[in-house]
Amino acid sequence: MQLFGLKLAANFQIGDLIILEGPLGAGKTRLAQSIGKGLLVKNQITSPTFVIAKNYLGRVPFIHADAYRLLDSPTGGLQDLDLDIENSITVVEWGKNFAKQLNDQYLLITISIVDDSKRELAISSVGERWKSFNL
Amino acid sequence: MKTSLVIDTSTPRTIAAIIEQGFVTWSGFHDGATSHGEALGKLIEEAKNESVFNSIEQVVVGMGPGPFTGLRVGIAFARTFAMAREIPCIGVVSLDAIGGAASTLAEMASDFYVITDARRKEIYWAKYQKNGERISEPAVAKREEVDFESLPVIEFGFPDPLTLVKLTMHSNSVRTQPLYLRKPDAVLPKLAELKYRAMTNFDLGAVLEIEKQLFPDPWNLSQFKEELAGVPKTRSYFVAEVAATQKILAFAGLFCPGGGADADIQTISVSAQYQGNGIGQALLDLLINAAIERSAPTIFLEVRSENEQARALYAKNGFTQISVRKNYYQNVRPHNKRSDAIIMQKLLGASHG
Amino acid sequence: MGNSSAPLVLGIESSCDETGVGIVLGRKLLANEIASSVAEHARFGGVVPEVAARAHVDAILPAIERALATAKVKLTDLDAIAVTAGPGLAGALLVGASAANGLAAGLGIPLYGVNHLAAHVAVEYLDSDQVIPPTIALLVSGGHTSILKVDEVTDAVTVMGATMDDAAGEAFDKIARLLGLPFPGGPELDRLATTGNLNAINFPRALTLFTDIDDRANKEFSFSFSGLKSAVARYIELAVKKDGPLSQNARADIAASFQEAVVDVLLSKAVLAAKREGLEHLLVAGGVAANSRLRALAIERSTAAGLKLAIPSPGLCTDNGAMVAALGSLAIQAGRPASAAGLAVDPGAAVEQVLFA
Repeated sequence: MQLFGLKLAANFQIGDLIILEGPLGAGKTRLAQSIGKGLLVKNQITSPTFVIAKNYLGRVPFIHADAYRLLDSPTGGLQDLDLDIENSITVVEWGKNFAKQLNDQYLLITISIVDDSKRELAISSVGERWKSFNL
Repeated sequence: MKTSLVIDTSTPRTIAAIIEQGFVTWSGFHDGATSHGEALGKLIEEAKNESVFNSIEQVVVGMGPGPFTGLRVGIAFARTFAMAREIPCIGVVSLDAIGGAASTLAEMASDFYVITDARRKEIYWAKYQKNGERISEPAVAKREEVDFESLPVIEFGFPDPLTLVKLTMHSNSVRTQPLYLRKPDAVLPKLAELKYRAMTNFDLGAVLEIEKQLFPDPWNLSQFKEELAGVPKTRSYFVAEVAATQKILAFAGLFCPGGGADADIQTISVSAQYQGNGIGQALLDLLINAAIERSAPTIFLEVRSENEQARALYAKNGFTQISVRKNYYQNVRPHNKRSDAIIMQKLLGASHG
Repeated sequence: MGNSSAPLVLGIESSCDETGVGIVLGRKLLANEIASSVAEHARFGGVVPEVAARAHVDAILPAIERALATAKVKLTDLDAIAVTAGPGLAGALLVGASAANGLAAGLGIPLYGVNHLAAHVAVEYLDSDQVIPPTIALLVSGGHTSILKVDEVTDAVTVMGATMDDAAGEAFDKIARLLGLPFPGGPELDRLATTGNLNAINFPRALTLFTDIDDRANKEFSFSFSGLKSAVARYIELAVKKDGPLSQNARADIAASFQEAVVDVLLSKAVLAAKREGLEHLLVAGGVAANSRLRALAIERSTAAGLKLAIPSPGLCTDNGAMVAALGSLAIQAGRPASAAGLAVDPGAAVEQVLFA
């Protein structure tokens, strides 16, 4: 998983939106941490569940967000936080329902738990930017 | 015209000014879409050097439209400053201070549009008459979606401080709430995917919370347990929960003893902040189906007379009023007022809709 | 009304969900208000920060008024305003800071931008005259879990360790959800756990066993709760698969065992930190410090270790304005400078930055 995050990060550009889905404990934050590491963020990346979004600076600005607390809200949304996604690389945990608020194009990584030490990743995408995305 | 402190943070430019007798005594601005907070603080520090700073009679603040976080900086500041000085704080539509100024300065020859950047390739816009009067409600849209009718479009303006003060005299421009605009076909998540299923005892914690929130005379745990004990022989109970998190938002119950007897809706309760999203309708559908499955000929219910929303929902679903029980409900807020119960019925069977 | 030895300070807290307004006179607590019935109503389903921020722009004035009424003072009596300038959610911080700025500018009094985490520590020193000793502070909330070395609360605070992933309070909320508990998850889980067996299941206590010296040096005061969260989630999943929906007893046992795993790690490390630094005083603060088991075990463990324990009352553990006013007041009493005009909020502020320039 670590290696995968690093590889992904190497291929991300400013303006990219990446959505992470998967049940509690699947490893979304862990993957986000690896991506951040790959983006050369020095600070410890911790779960943004409570504050919804945290900003970091790596080789480029990196936004790590978590829509978990917004899942029940019919009226709230990530778009209201004025996140500067155009100028950052943004990763949103639990963000599938909110992706379109931020960007018409995004990469969706869904993590499922196979067993205690194994995870399975399914990758799909929306938009031209991701059509040729290859690892 | 009162001596006014003017503030606007609806655009990437933070603007502050002091207006006395129709003239700008002092003004300042700072450009920076993400630094309204610091910028306003520094500008006001400068304003303190003006002797008139201590005899300000009112605060005028731009209410947008504009990006939320920046907009709130100006509004929060203006309101507490006014509170501290015990002077009024008046909010006005920021966009109108661009339109109004434009018509004064440029002597427009026709109606015109004013637009400001709403980020993500969207714009805030409104249409104005050549004299500066706004003739459409401010809205937000993707630029290509707005038909400018080949009229002039003012695009790079900023709210003019003197105009902001003049707008306090135009009721159409005065607002008490910030203009947080959303596109009408909002790119909001549709209400998170819901699951409807039979209620179980484990749900009662959440169910009781909703019950207490909604009703001044809530049922208690034993009453609910008793109801559930009747499932499925004489009762049907459902909950609506968010699929991803299993959080319960609403519940409903039906009394239906079967054997040709009529059915009674015991309750349809939707947590207050989720009302208006069709959850009540979905639960009502489930109850009606349950009644039909048990061959009930008629389904009855009671509803408080002042509950317009519920009465409309039931009417829409083919329920008609058959009688009124006066002063049936006690403990209606305000305390101790009583209210009437409207009894409604829906005939089931071959002719149901 | 006050003076520099007992200043009258109004504090505003608005770093995430709550907007709180508190008033202190020196170290005496005069008022502590949480803003708005709207936010409270929203609390019912779980607060969404944007919704909260909108409500707070309207609600902050009534909260200020209520606090003034409770404290029986007028705005013009105030000596200073204090406000949380970070860490937290940018939009929320801005509302509080802007409101504080407006008040300070309108009244012509100084503004102190303070650190949210340090404020949680400062609140303990209200309503006491005693000299504040150097302290180890265990700060635990929905958004933070850290061990701080507090040499002087207005100026010398360092982080000894913090969470590497989830905060403890967040873990409580998420496990509470899995157990089907209503909002607010943390207190509900606390309640459920009182009827369960805390030894029923031995959930993992992360970062307590080290085989590598360097690893230990780096992480002995760090926390990690994501593994525990996963372990509980998996346990529940397997139990349900095997035996169907969990019984009330099963849920209580899971709650109690999970809670024990969290509290055990929190206190082990905090006590170790105090011993390591040769300090006698241990402070436990933050929203999770209202948890009954954490409080009980804190008393047990600190007594056994010969430490003097301080925990604010539950009402002052969660985010509030009183703690901000308290830190502001202590800063004034210590002769610290006020913030300059143009105070900038810092959502990522480190606790070492107690006061903001």
